[in-house]
Amino acid sequence: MRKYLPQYLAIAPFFLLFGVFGLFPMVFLGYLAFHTWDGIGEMRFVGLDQFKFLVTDDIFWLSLVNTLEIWVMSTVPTLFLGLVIAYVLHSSVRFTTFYRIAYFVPSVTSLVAVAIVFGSIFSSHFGLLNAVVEWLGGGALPWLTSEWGIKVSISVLIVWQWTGYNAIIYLAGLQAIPSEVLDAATVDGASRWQALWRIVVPMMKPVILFTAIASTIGGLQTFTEAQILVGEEGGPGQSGLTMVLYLYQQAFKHNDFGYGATIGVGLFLVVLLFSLINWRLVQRGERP
Amino acid sequence: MRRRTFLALLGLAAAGCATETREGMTLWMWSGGLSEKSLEEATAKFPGLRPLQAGSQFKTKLMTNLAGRSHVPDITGLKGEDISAFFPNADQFADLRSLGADAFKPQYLGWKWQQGITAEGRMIGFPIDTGPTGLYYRHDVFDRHGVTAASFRTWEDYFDAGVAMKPGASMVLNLRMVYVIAMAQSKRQLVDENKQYIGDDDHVRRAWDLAIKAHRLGITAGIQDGSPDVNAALTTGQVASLIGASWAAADLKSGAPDSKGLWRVAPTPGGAANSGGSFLGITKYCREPEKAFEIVTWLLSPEQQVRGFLDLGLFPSAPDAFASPDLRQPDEFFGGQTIFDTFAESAKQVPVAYMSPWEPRLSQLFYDELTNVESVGKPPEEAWRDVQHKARRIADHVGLT
Repeated sequence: MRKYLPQYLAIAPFFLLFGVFGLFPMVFLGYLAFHTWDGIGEMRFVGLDQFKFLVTDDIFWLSLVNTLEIWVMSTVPTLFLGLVIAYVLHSSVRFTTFYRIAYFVPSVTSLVAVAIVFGSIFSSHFGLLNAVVEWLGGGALPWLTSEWGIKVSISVLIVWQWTGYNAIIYLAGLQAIPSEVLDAATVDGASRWQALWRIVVPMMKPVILFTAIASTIGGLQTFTEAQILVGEEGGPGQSGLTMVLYLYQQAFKHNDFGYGATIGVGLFLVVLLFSLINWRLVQRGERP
Repeated sequence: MRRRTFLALLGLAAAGCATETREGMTLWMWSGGLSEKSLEEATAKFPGLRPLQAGSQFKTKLMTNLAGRSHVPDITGLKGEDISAFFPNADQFADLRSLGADAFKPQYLGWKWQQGITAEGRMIGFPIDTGPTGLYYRHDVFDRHGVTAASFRTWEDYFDAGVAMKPGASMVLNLRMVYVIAMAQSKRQLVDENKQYIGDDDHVRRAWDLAIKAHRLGITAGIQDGSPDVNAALTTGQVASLIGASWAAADLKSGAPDSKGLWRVAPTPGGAANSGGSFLGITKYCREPEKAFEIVTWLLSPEQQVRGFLDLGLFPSAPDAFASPDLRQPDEFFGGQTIFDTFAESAKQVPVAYMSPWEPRLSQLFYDELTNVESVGKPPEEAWRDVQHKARRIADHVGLT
């Protein structure tokens, strides 16, 4: 133990920070979910009451459905576009660094600033998007005041933000594919499109699964995009109310920290379920 | 060299934290909550007073520090919509009555004074400002349709005028506004002093029915609060009126500057109401509550309230300030009308109502369902049943009877 003290010290900062900001909140969340607490006063043990309230709470299930819908509408285009962009970047010869930076910038831009810009793009009356729609001869669409408008708007924001990030990861995966394989395909007369779908995608399966899992965990925790675009209540029909937004609303707006924690546990179970599904997919992929 | 500078700075920062003691008197406020000039003068008058702007998410920050029992301000602002959230933990604040607040009571509006007092009689908030409501209306649009705002007494008069203006203009922005104002006119809210849910009683049903009636008559534009479309509708006169608090005048001026001179203000149809307005409280961590109370009463005296209105448009909670000639100025945006007098008259007539800690959470259910009726076309009776079902569930969940 003494002998390795410097090594332990060197890795200690991570574990200390993780303990305080990662582990403790998780354990405390599990504890809190069995109590009622307004944030200041006494905590009161209520057994499974909060969980009974959760499973019979229509708004919780609505937030789950909203989250899943937004997740599908954002993740599928994000991963598809990311792959296409990575492939194009990989094959191009000029300005590659510039493009890589350009595509990566959205994922490090302040989400609040982005959401405010998108808010004025999607605004019904003065929005940039509706100006284009009207110029093309269409009628103004209620982007942020109708159920599907809200979901599409949030999804578009997520796609814009994360496509570049995934493209960079795919690019790293692409660079690991031996060029001989692609050259051989070209010699055999495969088109670029065929090379992408028949050679690149199968060889990139592990990378694609990684991005799928990362996007699942991220997508199920969508919060800021919805909060800034449609507000803490989730907009008309609560169509933009995601699970994390609902958690935030109950805990920090209505000071119902006990129920907020219970929603957190529910969210954990949903993420766990999807991670298990992903894991099974990976397992199956690795079987010969 | 650079590294050494960095270390020196780090040391300084650490020393700065270490010297943080409970000396002096900290006052937390949000931007625009109290006149800067008043605060400057108070700092000179009361040595040790340190005003701090705590910025956005004010309630969350205050709650966090109260829960953590550290760096809690001695004096703190409490927003009107948040104050009741602190009622269940009123012991975190000094009881202002035990510090002699009752002697100041006659100087302030009775209903406002009452809002700072819990059901158990503990006074945790001293009145800063209020938000008396009025009917803002487009003089030009009303004239064109032969409608006169002076003739409105009841909501029905107001709605009838709305029907007369169809289809040229809408009278009401959205259903939520009708419900919010109608509830603000009521003496009873959603939960009474005995922790009983009364959101299914007649007074709520009446406010709900008024909103639904506006919907049925087709006099609403269905433009939700906060959307950029509000300004466009008010500038063009497509929506010809708006019921809002005194502070909405500033929003109107910045949001619809092109309609300058076309607006007027009349009394609220159906009676006076209040929307917004804040308080100052003294936390239990304050070591010199008497001195803090002296600072609070000085900052919120009628004279300083005149300043608050002139600097920030904070409508006074002390009626003595209403007579100030500085406040009773004609306003060009409103065609030279002295709108201050209209709001002052409204402020004197606001009903006394008990605001329970659960009002914001339960009210939201009503707002959401009204929006569903308006935007998604949900049948009103179904919306009412749903809102009652949801509200009852939450009432049971938080332990109401």
